[in-house]
Amino acid sequence: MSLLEVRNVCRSYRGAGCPAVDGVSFDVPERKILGLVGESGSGKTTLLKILAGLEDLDSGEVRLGGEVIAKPGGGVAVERRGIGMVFQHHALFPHLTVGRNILFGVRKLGKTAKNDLLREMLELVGLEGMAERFPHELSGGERQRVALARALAPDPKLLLLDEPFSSLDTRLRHSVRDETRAILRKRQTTAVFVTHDTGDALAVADGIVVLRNGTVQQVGAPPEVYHAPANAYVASFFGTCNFLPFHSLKHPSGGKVSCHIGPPGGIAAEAGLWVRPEDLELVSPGEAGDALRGKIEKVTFGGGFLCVDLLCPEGVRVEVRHNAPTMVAVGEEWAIVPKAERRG
Amino acid sequence: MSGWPARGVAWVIALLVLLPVAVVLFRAGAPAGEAWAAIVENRLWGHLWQTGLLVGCVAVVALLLGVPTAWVVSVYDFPGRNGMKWLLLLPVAMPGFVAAVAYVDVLAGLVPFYIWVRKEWGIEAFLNVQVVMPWVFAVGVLGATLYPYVFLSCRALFAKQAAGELEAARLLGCGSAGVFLKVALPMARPALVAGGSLVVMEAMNDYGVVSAFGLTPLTPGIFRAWGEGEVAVAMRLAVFLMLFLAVVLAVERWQRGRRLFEVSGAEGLLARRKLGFGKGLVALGICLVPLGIGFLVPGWRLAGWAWDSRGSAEIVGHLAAGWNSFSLAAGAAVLVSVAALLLVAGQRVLKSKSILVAQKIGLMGYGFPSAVVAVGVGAVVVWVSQRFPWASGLALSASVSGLMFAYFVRYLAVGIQPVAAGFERVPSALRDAARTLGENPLGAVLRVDLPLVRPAVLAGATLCFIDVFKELTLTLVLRPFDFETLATRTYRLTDEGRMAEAALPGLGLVLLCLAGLIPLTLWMKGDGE
Repeated sequence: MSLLEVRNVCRSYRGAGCPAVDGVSFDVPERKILGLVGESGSGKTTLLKILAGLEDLDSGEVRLGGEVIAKPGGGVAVERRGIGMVFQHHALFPHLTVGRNILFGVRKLGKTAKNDLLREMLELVGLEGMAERFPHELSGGERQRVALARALAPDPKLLLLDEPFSSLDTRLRHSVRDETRAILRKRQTTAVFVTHDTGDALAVADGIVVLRNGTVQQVGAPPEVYHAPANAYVASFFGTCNFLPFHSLKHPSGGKVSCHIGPPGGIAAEAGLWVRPEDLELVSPGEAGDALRGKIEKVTFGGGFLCVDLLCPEGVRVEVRHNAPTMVAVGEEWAIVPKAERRG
Repeated sequence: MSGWPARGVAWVIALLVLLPVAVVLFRAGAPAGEAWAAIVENRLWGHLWQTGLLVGCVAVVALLLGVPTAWVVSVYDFPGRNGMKWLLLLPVAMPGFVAAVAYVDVLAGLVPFYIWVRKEWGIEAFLNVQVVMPWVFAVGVLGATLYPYVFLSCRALFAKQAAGELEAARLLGCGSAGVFLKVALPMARPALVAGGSLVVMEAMNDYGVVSAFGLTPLTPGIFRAWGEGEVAVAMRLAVFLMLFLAVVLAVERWQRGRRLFEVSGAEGLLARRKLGFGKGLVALGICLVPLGIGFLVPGWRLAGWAWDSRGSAEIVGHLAAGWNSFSLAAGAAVLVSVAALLLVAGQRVLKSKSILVAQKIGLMGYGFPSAVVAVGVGAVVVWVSQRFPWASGLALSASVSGLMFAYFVRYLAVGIQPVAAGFERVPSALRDAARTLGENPLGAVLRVDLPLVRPAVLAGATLCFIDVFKELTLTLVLRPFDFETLATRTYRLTDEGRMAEAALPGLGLVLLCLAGLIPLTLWMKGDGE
């Protein structure tokens, strides 16, 4: 059953041209983690604030566990929603110790119960013995963990995370990301997190909502949005994607490519294929029959692979992720084939 | 939460701040009869030109003292520079009327000089010199105690923001004088205007210095009419003072609006040029002149007299006056801080536009001339005691409330500014975090904002305390009969020609102001200013 139901939520700001959030709907099932992904200005943070109650909505509604918590002109007050939030720059209270930060939202508990809870939370995030430190005495990763513990301590029904890893450097961010995921799993927390980093979203979320200019582009599981993007924007947002127009392929219907084309009436002039660089490979032109050919324009070393840019007939540019032992060099001509085709 | 009580209180505060000016404007319209005609005929023109001349001369002197000192401590390295950077601020703690104590008898001692002038240059020169010398002293004392406003704003500009532009001018081949005249001075104009207009406002508000030297610009003119019972005349003169202020503010606004200087601010600190021994002495001399006139000489003379009068019977009176000053200042500081917190925190909690407007009105009070606030509040006090005669038994407390009311109007802004700045520095995410952790808006402000803005509230309270502690103009007019503060006592004894006895309360006043200012300066320095 869905814990959180977001229905047709709209929000616009006076003076802004288009709405910040425009008719957004999605569900979050219990104990699942949802990633809200989009570029800056896509409305993801506004949406998160609407869920938290820090922002009003113009139309639509939000239900939590069946109860309407946000609707036009009101809803449940922020402090009574039972929703926890981890803020972008952690927003730890600088005048309180780690312990007092974590227990800030905990009420109706006796002193011993509070101490037990604090110990449990510190253990959960791996900060045992740090209760008396002040936020400025902590490292970035530790602050992030305190913020998580503080949001989890009152046992919220739903946890929101606003760009939780963006203030950490790349190396730290991966370990904190994995830890956070493990903690949320362990506590079976239902969570919604906002990020502009597709890597974070793919790694942490059970489901992803892609937003652009306030509208939902796609809702789906991570492999789904990556491998079966709903549109060109989603396809290119989650990494490089080659567009091969049908008219550039010599035999597009040679039994190798089958797809469902939208409205009846034939193939539009701009119709074509979207293919990720890692789904293509290079073979020598002799082996490939009438496959697409291209001349190598640029080779970039990418670590475990080479990034090869080719110029094909009719000015089509294709990027291929090449990790075969064969050497390639600028100026050579190669044939481009789908990886799966060779295997099958 | 509708928050109507908070909105209501905020608007009561705003209306209280506006009340004295409203009373003045309203009462100035009442018929004033022959008294006004007589004033127009005999005194009005004198009040006006004296105000203009005084304000103009004081501004020029303050700029002449403040700008070069700010320049040398920012650009050059010389023995004593580090000390001078702070010592040059000391005159802030020396109210003009206290410094005047040390100079009034110097003026009186000029008689042999007058006689010499008469013998050498004739009767006309003798008469002119007698008119001019009090002006020289009054302007000198006011300029030397008010220049820190100019010094502070210019130092901030020279030392930090304009560093890049000044370095560029140097690299382009400007000599020191060229850099100062062609780049620094034109760039400093906003700072000059900002500091200069504060000096002008303070000079307009002055009562102690001008009356010690026998000058009669508008402020003493208003009090004279008020003292003579010509309420309507006093109100009309007060309107003239407000018009005068309006002109000054308009000029300031116009100057600012025409050229808003953007200084880069990214270039970091200016590398100071080390001066040789001779030039170093000159630089030190430039700093010692204002410091000497504004602080060292009066401080030294007062200290000497205070030491001589240590066994005097006046000391009991001094202590009582000191206690009065302290209680008034402490009371006003508490009142102002509570009101400031209410206005700023209330606006934060309720996100209310109307409270924001009330807050802006509260800030205006600091711009109202003291004389206007004094006669406005005075009229209110008189009206209340006539309307509610049963309250006349409480005459003393009524006047003390009047005093508090006047301090509140004038110094509310002093409390609001640091508190508002303090709240501004608290990231809104902290408040949001508290909300998601189950706090209502009020709880979030109480548990998160308040502990974080406590230093700012304390700073505001301290500033307000110091301002009230050294306040003379309002206190002189509104104090209950026989009620003295250190300021009024210093002034009265000076007025009676008892300089030696005035020294001790004056010195006490200065020392207490210093005791408040030094920790405040250190705190603000630690806070990154």
